[in-house]
Amino acid sequence: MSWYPLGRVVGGTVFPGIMLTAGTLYFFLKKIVRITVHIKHVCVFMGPFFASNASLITYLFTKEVSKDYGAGLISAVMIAIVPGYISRSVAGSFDNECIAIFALILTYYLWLKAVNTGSMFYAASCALAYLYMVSSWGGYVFIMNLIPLHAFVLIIVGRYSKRLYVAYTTLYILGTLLSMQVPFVGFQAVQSSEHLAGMGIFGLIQLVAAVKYVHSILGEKYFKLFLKILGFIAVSILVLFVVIGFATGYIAPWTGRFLSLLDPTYAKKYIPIIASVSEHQPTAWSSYFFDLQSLVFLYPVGLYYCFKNPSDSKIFLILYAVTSTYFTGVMVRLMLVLAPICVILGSMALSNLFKLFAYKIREFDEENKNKKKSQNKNTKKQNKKKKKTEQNKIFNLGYISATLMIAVLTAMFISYIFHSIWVTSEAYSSPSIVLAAKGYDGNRIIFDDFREAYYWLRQNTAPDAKIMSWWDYGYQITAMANRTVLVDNNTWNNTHIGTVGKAMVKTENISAQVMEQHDVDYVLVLFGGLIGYSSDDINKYLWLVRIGGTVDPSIKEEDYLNSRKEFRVDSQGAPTFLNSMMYKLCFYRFWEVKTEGNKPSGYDRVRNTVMGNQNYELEAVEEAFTSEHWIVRIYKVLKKENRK
Amino acid sequence: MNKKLNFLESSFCKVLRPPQLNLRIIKPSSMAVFAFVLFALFIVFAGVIYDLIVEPPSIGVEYGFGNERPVTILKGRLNSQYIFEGIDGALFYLLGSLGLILIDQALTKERREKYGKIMFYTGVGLFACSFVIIIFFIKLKVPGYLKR
Repeated sequence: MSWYPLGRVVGGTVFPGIMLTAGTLYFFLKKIVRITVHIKHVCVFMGPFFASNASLITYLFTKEVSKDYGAGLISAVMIAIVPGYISRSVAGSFDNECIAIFALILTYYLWLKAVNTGSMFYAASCALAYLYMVSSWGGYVFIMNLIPLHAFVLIIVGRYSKRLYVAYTTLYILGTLLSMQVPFVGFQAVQSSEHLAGMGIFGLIQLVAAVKYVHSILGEKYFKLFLKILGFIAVSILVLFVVIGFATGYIAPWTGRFLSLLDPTYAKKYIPIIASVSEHQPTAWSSYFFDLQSLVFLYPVGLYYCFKNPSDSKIFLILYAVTSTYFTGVMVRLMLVLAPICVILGSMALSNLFKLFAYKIREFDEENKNKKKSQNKNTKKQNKKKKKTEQNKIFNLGYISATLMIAVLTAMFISYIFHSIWVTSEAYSSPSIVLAAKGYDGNRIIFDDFREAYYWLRQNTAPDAKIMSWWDYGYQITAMANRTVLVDNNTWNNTHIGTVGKAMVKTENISAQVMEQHDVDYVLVLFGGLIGYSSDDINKYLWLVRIGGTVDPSIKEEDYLNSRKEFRVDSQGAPTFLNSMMYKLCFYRFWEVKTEGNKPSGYDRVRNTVMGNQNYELEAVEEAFTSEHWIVRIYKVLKKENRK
Repeated sequence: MNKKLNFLESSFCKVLRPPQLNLRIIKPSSMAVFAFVLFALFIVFAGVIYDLIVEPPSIGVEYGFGNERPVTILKGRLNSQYIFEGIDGALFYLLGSLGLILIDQALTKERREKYGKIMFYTGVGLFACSFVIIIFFIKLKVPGYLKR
């Protein structure tokens, strides 16, 4: 159980898509194909399976947009190994994004097919794909805002047509109705501000179609009058709707998660939980190259080709590219949404560039053939032609230059492959629960402390024991140690997390009171000072202070920094910090340990200083378990005596 | 019918008088919009949003031999940058793309031969140099890039 004592309504707070897909695949394999596989193997390999499906659908998408099957093939190869997507679809990563990106590209492909052909069949299939996307990932809001934006831009630019009307109307009605079937979304599809754009553009497109129809019936003079009256009525209805909707509170304003995308500084000021997740940090320039390598260069070239010969689908690509680049700039984890469009535009650019040089080589070969046939006849005519067109002609690239350029582009493509393989093997392939490091003589040391601690919990504590730890480890404790936790990774209740934060950063007495109120039996902390593991709880300490400060106003960040505004662990650290519960839990008995040969005992290898507050006693808790490399430390909460 | 419509028009115009806005619909050329999009891309690639939120220093400092030396690139960590470093990186990304765009312009449009040659070779040079420089920068940032 998790979120003790509140509990959690799993049905209404979870996207069921990935579980349903895994279950369907398992059922299909077991009953229809009659191959017995364990459900665990189905779950582990869902990521790669859907990544290969995404590769297939990207081929179809690029072929649809560019009418060039060469670009489609290149895009299928590139999206198979682009590091930005691989990071979330390795084998063993059973997260929403595995199937979400496949559903995203499928929805966009069917939308572009619907707009290009104007058929209701494709629009209805797009609505079904949209339902799959809504059931998979919270990022479906991106689809529900990008498709209306595309329709709006097409109307503005003057590309309104019957096909667009049929496609958008069918998709909006069916899509909204279907998305309301998912319990997590429910009536949010018509109530929340994130979905308003779709509704607004739906109204607008009906209006545009009606106006065009009336225009074809009325003459010019009365059409102008009609426009004036209609414009007035439409604007007044819209204003009335918006004002009443927001004033009565029926339309909910933008929620924190999505508001922090529009205003990046919002989360930093008001919602520290969103700001503290390392995936939600904004992107620095090097992450773009690391996750996309050659595509970073080819992506603007693809945009250039879209602007050169615009069409309905290419305008969609431009909008998708611009919006997803901005959102990726705000949050690193959204690089996943940028990767497909980079691949599509980059492959279009690469294919066009290859074609430029390949045609030169083909022309050269054909010229050679023609020269052999008629050498003497055309020399005089050619001389005359040369003089006439000396001023303006297309730069005639030589045979060798064209071959060299093809070799250069191929070399870039090959470097992309090597880069992707290296990045995947170094950065995105290690399990996060077993750590590995290189020893002094080059052999690998394995730190299996997490599993050791969770199995200790599983085997040595009462089955109804409640564990208090920071929310990062909630899912792991619930799954591997099989015990109740107070807060976990779902982070749906900020007040509860703030209370846990308060219990960690206050002194031992106050912390004991909070723990007694919540029936806590064990406390679990992470400490990396012995081996130099830098993602431990002391490095997250200031986030605990900030989040605890949202619940208890007496917790202020300045109290935990010393007079020079530094966060220090040694004797120059702030006294409030050195007497807090988490410091005492992490560093208990660490003064007895010698970590490096030439340093005194109690030397913290992460912060590179000696610990400050030494030789203290714990009154409210007693040490229950410390893992082999001191990474996970578990303390048992002592019950108060019956009589004083 | 005409009388009714005339009555409607006159009554409507008496109640509401829309102002005489001399609006011109501006239709920018597609290449102008493309230039604007490239500028927006430059700003995002430079990590300006990272700069606004995390507020890193504009350049780093290296101490040695009793003096301070400026350091452009934050070594060792991947998802962090100095302000100038971000602008540097984005500049080379865009120069590389502009090189490829120049190659395309040189080979598809009719112009005088001299300009075609200049555009083509400049484009190739820009693209090749930007690619090499970016890889050099990344080797500074990520220790052990492309090594086991």
